Amino acid sequence: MSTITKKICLLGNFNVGKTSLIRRFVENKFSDQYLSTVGVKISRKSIEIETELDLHQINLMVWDLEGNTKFKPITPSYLKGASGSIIVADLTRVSTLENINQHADLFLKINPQGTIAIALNKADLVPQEKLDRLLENYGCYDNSQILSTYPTSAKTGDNVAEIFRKLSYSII
Amino acid sequence: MNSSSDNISSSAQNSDSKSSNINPIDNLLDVLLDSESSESEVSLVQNETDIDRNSSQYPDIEVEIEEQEQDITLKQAVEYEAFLRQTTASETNESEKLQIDQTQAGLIEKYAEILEIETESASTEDLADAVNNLIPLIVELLKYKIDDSQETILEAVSQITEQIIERRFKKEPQKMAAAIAKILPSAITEKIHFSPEEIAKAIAPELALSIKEQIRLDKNAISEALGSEMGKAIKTQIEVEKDAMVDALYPVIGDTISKYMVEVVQEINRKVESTLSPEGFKRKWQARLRGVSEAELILQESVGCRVQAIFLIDKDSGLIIQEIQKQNVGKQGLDSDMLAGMLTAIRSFANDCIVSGSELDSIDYGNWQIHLEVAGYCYLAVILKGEPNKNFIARVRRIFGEIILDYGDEISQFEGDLETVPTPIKPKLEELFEAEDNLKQKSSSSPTALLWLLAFILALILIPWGIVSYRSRVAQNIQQVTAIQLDAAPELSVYRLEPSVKQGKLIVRGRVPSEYLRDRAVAITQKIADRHNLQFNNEIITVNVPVSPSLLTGEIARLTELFNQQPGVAIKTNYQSKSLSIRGFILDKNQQQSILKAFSRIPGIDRTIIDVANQLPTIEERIYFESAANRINVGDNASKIKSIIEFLDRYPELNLKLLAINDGVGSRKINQNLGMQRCSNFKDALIAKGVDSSRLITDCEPYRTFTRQKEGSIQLTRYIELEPFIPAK
Ligand SMILES: Nc1nc2c(ncn2[C@@H]2O[C@H](COP(=O)(O)OP(=O)(O)OP(=O)(O)O)[C@@H](O)[C@H]2O)c(=O)[nH]1
Ligand SMILES: [Mg+2]
Repeated sequence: MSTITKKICLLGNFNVGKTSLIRRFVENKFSDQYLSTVGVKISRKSIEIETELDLHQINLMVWDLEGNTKFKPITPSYLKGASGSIIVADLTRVSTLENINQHADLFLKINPQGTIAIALNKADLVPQEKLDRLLENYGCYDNSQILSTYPTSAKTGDNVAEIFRKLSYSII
Repeated sequence: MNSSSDNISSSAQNSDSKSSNINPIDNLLDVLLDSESSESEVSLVQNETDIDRNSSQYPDIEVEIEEQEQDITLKQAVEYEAFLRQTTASETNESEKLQIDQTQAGLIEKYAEILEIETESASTEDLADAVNNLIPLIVELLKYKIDDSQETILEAVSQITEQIIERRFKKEPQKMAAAIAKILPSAITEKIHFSPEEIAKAIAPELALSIKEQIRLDKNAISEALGSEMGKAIKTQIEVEKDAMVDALYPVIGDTISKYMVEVVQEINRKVESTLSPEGFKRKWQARLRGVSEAELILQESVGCRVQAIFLIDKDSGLIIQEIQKQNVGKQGLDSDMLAGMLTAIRSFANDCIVSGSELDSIDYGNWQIHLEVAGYCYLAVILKGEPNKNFIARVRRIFGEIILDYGDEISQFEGDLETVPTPIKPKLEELFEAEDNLKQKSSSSPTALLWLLAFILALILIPWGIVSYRSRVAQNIQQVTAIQLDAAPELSVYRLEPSVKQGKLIVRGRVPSEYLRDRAVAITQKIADRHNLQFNNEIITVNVPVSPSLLTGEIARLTELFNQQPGVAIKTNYQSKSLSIRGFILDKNQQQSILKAFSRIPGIDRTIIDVANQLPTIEERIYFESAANRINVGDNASKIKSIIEFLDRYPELNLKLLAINDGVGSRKINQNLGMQRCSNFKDALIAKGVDSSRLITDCEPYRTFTRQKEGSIQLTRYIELEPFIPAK
């Protein structure tokens, strides 16, 4: 078994649930309170991933970045050296869904070899029919570096571990 | 590399735009054959293959063309190639030129063969002449033939051109060289323009040699040529790949900076030296004293440090490449992953937001410091306790520089897998832990001078101060002891005697009203002085101080009280008009003497009248009882009771004990009971007469039988007797 350490970043507009997703993934906790992240927060979680060849222990260093607002862009230097990124958008706010491409471009500009997974978060707040429609509109990206899009919910935990695992699998 | 080749190719393009360079080619070909540009297309392919074969020898031509004749064939090939390139460039008719007829190719080969045979069989000079003479003819022939089959002719011509040129060169090397020289630059330019890789490949192996040779010939030529471009090149390279450049330079940058710093310090030194200010002199003096240069003095960071952990961290991702931790840093060791991540974030933040272009080089946290050394792809974080000195930092830089130099590539490839990290990095970093041990010794040896100086100065201040304060503490102690002991002597306690210790002398100052008291005080103080090896200065004066009456009576009362505490003493004192009368009982005669003395020493008492008994008075009265009766006949005993009361009044300091004596008739138990009842009844009777019960105690339990000596009334053997005693206080 080999141990590898990888850096991944969570990107997205403010208040989409980046911190919540990480908290759900790392501590399996959720809070309704909104405490906006300032600067960057780093968390770590070790997961095991099995490939055909080997069992890998992956030490994920998860960088939770301050979400961008109209007035403050994301600091690109925090993205440097990341193997992968989860770009998070809020299903209840279309503007955040529309920003996904922009985030992906930024990330790939800094990490041309990087891999991206997209989390359409707060799926628990959207009724199924609406969710299907939104997934149709914002769920497909024809870029080989964008793995796939997941409707996630930090609140219920839906797809949270899955998206992190999927991303980890593709960066080892 | 890409960028540099880009650069070259772009400059090649620039020079090629000058059309004048093309003329020499035309000239040359005019000499050789009268051809039209369109015809040359065909030969392109064949000649290209030639060139490929010979391409590795290009550089030789270039460099040695002036010296060696036999390489001219190659040179010629180059030039021809260049020409063809150019023509194609003008025509850009690529599809046509590739159509080579096999049969025509065969024809040309034959033509060439014939020529070759001729060359071999005949003497070379003749042949060359012949060829030369033939040229006009051939030209004519060709002109004629062109109409017929342009391509065939061209094929043929191109084949023989080689030989033609060779001949010509042998005959007139200077002329040929001159002709070729003119086209050479543009030829090469052309080639480079079309296939830069090929040229690069061809030139590469010999480039170094060529440069060497050129340097041998003209020392400065190369540096002059390159110098102007070097700056630009480095700049470009920095723009394109800054990190690689930093890595390349890091190992020398440390030294460069130290060198620069030394210069700066020397400058400071010069300034200091030229300053005749008091500070200047002071510093100079210190430097001389410590045997170091003032420059060092200024730079010296004398306090040692302790390495707690070292992390080699990927600059971008913040992932740990290598870590070494001393045991028990923090509680469970530092969480290196998180620490490295946060440090990296902080670095990014600082670099982005604070001052771009400068580096965060240390973070201080209490007496901890994180010292950062940054290279291209990684940085080193040394976690220290205390302030690192300059030797240590120099050492960190040197070791880090060595790591970058040796393993920079591997580090730049780091992807988070620790197994890919070269193993020698760890022991290298561990040297820093050892270094620290050395430095500890060093730092303790190098600033010894300073430490000694400090210790000396401190000693100058502290030792006298210590002695003084110690002495004063001791003196204070003696003073206190003396004061307490003087106070403890009852007769002295009321007078203010002030002991003080000065310069080995115990001085007691004060006033006492009598010689005796003075002697007492002297005796007490002398003992203390002897014990502490001090000289005793007696400054106590005896004065007839007017004694305050209250103080006097107080003192009398105190002494009376004091003596009454002792067993066998029951006295009352009365002070009147300077005389004291003492009355009462002092059973011990010796005790009476000392009591008398004690009172007579009280200043203000001129006379002491003592009226004390050494024995207690007795009471003769006995209370008799009927046989087996316990009742008292109060009426019969009235006079006795009266006299008892009188006794108690007369001797208020005495109390009475009641004792029962029986007649011995009957059982012991009956008699004892009877005695107790008689006692208690008599006590009650006395109390009833107004006697304070506290002054009476019964002692009737002991079995006391009257011992009859003579014949006597049995009635007189049953009674209670009274015994006065001094009550215990
Ligand atoms: N219902 C629901 N609420 C969510 C979910 N995820 C996050 N939230 C809520 O959304 C709010 C914002 O979440 P955060 O995780 O702090 O958002 P963020 O993206 O980290 O925001 P910034 O740090 O400001 O960029 C919080 O009040 C969360 O409780 C979810 O899946 N479902
Ligand atoms: Mg947040």
